[in-house]
Amino acid sequence: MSQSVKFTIDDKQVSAPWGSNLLKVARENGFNIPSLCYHHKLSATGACRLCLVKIEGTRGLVASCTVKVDEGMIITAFDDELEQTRKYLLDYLLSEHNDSYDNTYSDELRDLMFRYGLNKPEDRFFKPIWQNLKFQPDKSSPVLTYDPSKCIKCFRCIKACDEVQGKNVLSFTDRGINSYIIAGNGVWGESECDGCGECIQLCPTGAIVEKPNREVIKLDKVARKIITTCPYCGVGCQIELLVQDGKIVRSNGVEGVSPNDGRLCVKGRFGYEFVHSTERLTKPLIKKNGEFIESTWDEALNLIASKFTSIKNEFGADALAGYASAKCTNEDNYIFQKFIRTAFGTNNIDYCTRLCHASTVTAMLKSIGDGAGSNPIEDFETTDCLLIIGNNIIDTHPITATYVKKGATKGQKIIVIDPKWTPIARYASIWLQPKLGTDVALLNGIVHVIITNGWHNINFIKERVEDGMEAFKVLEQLTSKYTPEYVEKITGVDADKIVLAAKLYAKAPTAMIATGMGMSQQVTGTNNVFCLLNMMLITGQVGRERCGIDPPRGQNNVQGATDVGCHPYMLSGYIPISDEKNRRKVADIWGIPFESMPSKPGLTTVEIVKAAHEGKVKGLFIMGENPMLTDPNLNHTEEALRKLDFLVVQDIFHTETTRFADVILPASTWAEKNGTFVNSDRRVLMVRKAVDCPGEAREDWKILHELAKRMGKPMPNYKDESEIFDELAMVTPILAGISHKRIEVHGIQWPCPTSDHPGTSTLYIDKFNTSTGKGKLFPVDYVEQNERVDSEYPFLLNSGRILYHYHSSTMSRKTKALRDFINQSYVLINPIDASKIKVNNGQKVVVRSKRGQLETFIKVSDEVLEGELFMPWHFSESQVNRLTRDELDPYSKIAPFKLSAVRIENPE
Amino acid sequence: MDVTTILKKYPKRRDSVIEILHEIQNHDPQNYLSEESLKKVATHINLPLAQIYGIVGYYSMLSLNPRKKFVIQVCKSPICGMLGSQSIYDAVKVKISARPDSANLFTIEKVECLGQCNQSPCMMINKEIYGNLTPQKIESIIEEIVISEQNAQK
Amino acid sequence: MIQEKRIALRNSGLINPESIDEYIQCGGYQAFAKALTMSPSDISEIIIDSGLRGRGGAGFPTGTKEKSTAQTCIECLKYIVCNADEGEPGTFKDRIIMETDPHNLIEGMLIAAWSVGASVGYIYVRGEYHLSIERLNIAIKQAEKKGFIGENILNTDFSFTLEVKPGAGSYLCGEELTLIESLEGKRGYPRIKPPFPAQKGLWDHPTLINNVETLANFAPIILYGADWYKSFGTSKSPGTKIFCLSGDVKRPGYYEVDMGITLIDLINEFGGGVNGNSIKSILIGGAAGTFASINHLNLPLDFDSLKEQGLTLGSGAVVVMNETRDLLEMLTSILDFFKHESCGKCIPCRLGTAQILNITERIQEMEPKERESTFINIIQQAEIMAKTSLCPLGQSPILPLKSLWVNFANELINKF
Repeated sequence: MSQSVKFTIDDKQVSAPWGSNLLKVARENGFNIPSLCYHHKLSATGACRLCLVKIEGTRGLVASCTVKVDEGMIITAFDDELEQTRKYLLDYLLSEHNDSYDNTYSDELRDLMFRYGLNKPEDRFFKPIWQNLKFQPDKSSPVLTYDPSKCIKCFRCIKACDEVQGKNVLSFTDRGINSYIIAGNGVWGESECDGCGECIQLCPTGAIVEKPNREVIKLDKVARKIITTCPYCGVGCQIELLVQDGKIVRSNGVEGVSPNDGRLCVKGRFGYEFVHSTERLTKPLIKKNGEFIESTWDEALNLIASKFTSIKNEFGADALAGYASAKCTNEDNYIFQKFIRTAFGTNNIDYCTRLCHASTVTAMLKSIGDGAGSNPIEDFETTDCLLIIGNNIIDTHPITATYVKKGATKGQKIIVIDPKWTPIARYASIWLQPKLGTDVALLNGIVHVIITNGWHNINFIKERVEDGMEAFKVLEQLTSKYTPEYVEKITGVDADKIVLAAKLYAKAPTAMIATGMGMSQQVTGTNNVFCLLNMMLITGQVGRERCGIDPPRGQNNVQGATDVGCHPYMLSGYIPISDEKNRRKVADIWGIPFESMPSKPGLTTVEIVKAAHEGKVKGLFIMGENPMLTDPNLNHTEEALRKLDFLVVQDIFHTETTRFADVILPASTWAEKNGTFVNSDRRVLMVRKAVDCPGEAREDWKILHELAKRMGKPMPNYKDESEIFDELAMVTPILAGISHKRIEVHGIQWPCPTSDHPGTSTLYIDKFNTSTGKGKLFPVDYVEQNERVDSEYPFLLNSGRILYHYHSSTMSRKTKALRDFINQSYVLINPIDASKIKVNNGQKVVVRSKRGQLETFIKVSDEVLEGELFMPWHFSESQVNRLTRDELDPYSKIAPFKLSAVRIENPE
Repeated sequence: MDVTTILKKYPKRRDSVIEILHEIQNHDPQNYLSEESLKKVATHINLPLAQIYGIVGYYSMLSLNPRKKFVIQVCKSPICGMLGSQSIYDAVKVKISARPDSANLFTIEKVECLGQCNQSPCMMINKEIYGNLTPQKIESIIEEIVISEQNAQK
Repeated sequence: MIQEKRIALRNSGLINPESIDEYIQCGGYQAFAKALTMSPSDISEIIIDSGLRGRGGAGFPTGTKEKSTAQTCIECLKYIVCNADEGEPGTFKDRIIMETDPHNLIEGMLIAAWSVGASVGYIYVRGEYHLSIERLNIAIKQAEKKGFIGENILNTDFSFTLEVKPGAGSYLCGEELTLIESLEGKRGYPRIKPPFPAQKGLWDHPTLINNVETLANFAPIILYGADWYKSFGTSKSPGTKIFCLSGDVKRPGYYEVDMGITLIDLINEFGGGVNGNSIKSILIGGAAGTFASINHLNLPLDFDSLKEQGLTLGSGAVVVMNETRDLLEMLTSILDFFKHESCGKCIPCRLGTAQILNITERIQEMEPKERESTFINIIQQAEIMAKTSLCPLGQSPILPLKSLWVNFANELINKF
């Protein structure tokens, strides 16, 4: 920080770091200088001129938002002339402003209007001219309206979109008194605007206002404003929910806290509507004669307890299994795994992480010792080089992407590796487009280039890699055949590009890797990530700030659920089941006999399904998951679920899975409970209750708590969720220093071993978390995929997510704003292929693989290579996983969602 | 020249945008910038569409509205105005309406100072400047264009 | 009989503007060759010594600007930009230079570029100047061919590229920082000042930005020296100035004469006298200029003498109005121009230009008493605009308004 300087404002001595913004400093010191165009997140604009001050020695009046403070400045912030001038300017402004107000948004101009006594038209000097300007409101966006007659042309929306969100989709058009804001060609709904609503949040006058609840919300009737964590992806944005008449009516970003500093994406801002959906489950349902009949909690819980108990008695504890939920809180999940391990008495507990980053986590645990991102989210902006691989970061982690985009504008080098075009390619220095399933070859090629050019870091290898140069030699040997030319043949990526990517990454002062589902959801998922880790370790691009590897997590609490032990091989805090000492400690804290602590590693998700199919698992408890959409090879999953003796699904809605259940339990959304989530950068963040559960629905952990009691394994009577957290902190060394109280305002990044530890922003600074403290190289060879195209199935199908929907879209498709953006499945096909097989945009087709089929609509796009297709998998009416395989990655047991041979059939 | 050919001549840089837009407009048979053209420009220089529309909306020489083959821009600056530009403008209108067969040839606009004040009142037809105008001169200027166009048609 | 003193226009009309050989035959590029033998700082010293002041309108000392651009950083990338966005109504001198002697401008830019260490140059020409753009492009190609532009020019370390960039119809882009925004391919919004272009200009690099006429004086000054240049004009405004004479004169046109020529001499000796019975008013400096009356006819035309009388030289536009002209109509036309050209970024200019025009358009129908109070009011508005606006455009309407009121109040109040 710069040195402090002293100066005076209206005779008051003030000091601030040299170069600070004068308006900001003045306001912090109690000088309420008016301004409409200034916002602390944006560069100074100097447009409204209301913040004019006098500075001794400077001619005329100066806009304080454009001044940097300096030693000895003598500033006049308030005198008659300045106040008269400000009033005059406001009077001017009001003449072009439609000042009708409906109490649905906060209005900074209105506040100033009252402050300067201009609230009554008769007190204003200037006649209104706004009616003559003939502006037309733009109501075409699904999420917002723009009314030019309320627009004061302050540039805040434009800068919000550009400087804060990195999208830059807004501009003024025309000029002078006639200027107004446009998106795209002037029709907002047809523009590139993705609906994040940053412009709404920063608009000072209600020119841009959100559509949802516009008719309902009245700011003076808002009863509560609750700060909590967004329930969608793993960024963990802090949001403020406005509650009116017991319902959420608005969501705003919370300024000044990590990870989002007020920024939100379209889901975070508008995706809360599902909470109040009329389709919510509100009563326990028991299937009787094939139909779900409402029941009392007592009846449902007793039935469940007795059924599971009898299965356990008859077939043993391992005939039972549970799916935890990446959507639920740490407290819910902690209680869930405790329930499975105590009441069920098995380690058969897993959840959807097996389907996303299991391979990443497996490789990272083996190689560097932690299965979590090594850097804080802010590093995405400040690292010199970012390698984004198999990661559609703009659609899947929109707020992390804002940091990346900011970095790009400052000259950060961005390498994108993806078989499919994704929007981040627009910001990339270089984009490599390998054929599906050839990542190991490509990455070995990059490693080969690094080694042959001597760009590897020998000191780092010697000091921090297990077996040092010996291990390196093995890698060198193995990758020696992966010359750029050879790799070009396999991957289709130009040799030159491979060399350039290697150079950009290896030679950058600092470099980070952001790896996603494109890498992990393959049969070679673990090997893919090993290759990345090899590259990282030999170049030493880890162990320092702004260096490392980060797998941005897809779900709000996918990180936390594993952290707190929803894992078949590990207890809370990544401690293997086999660790007897830890088992003893945990049994002790749980107050159960050590012997009753299950010691045999359990089954993973896909294995649980297989075991059910084989009749080995007979009872299954699913909390907030939807395997009938998310699992690979759904036809097989369906058969397995049918074979179960007893299935309980605890959820907020009917899903594709609930119809197979014997009992459905109505649970709570994130807005109806207290607790914590852990985001992608290991930050433990508070979740707070905003509204009550609908009907008889209950908080998830309370259901489990009750059930445990009825199964004869009662848990302590927790006073509230903070007590649960305190217990989980005791059994989880990486979270030991955290409590609800400590994260009241700001989250803390684990590991945080003690209550005075500040948390850890960057991992591996001194050592890796492996047993030796060193990183491990895992050289692996490229093996051709088993799944190949042939004349019968000539296309390779890739699948993935899109911005507007989330997971199995049980939440997002219950929200009108998100449906309005997109509500139909499609398959992307390259224009050349489209003309070859004679299909057109919007045409309905059947996509078929050896395993199943679905119906969807054609979307012709050069975002995919020839011979490849892409489908979003959110749409239950076109279940992509009817097509995918359950051939698993041997190490992590992840399924290959990203590659299936298919054909396209015209249904007519 | 079509838009794609024009775009190939320019680097994919934002600072080429005004030149690009001029050239596309000048080559457009309707003397304007269509949505289709602007989308191609946006893609070429990797900018969101609103940025391109914003530029077109700002600069008065760029038009979003289709115009006829000959765009007659009569200067209405204070100097030309003082020396009778309104009568020139009126004369143009009268002349054009007197030749209905030429209605599809001309678009008339009033523009700010053309920097030809030594020959006020003045106007510009496409790139050509016409100065020291009188209503009589307008008559012959327009007539000449109409006839040469008709000859070209034959 | 007063003679023209052609320095900036020395070749105008004498040579074929599309022939570099003719330019060279007239001594062209000798000054540049000489400059390359001198140290860059010596050049800016000569320019400072010559007293040359910016001819775009502001009259800032040219050499000082050059020196500060040169000193911002030594080894960094710098730009030179020629402001050829001549949009001030009544002004066309830059066009004449570009159309009749483009190499003169290019040579001036080369000298200036060498003196500040700029390696890339742009000439930003208003888009309506088709002929200027065409001739400059021809001239640049010729200069490249002759080796005056390119790598290691004339076997020195100096390398330089030059490009013409068209505007597209915006008066405000003649303001230097707005021009830079436009050069970057953006909407023409003025930037916050400071930083000045000398510190942070095009793409945030130090940038020297000069008017066409200013640069057209560089070559002669380098060839003949500062003292020679100072022998023309007045002590505080040395050199010559191209005046653009228009309106009610018998011979409208451009005339390069000594700074300090009186208004009446300019009109009579060069303009051939008033067209009409008598002179009512003279608008000096264009729309952002001032209305002079017949009391000012003996005033010397230079930066400072005019300023003392509350008038402004501006770009050198001199618009003569005879006894039949309606000054209120003229004012309305000017205010309409400002409203049309206001970018809309800051409140005072966006609203001020619109509100003042609205009110002015109604003056015609008012009673004398109301007229007076209305004028006082719009002058007050224009003063607040001048005090609070972000850029020079909003600071301009006060100039014609106030000068008109000071010199013609009686007519404005009483004439119906």
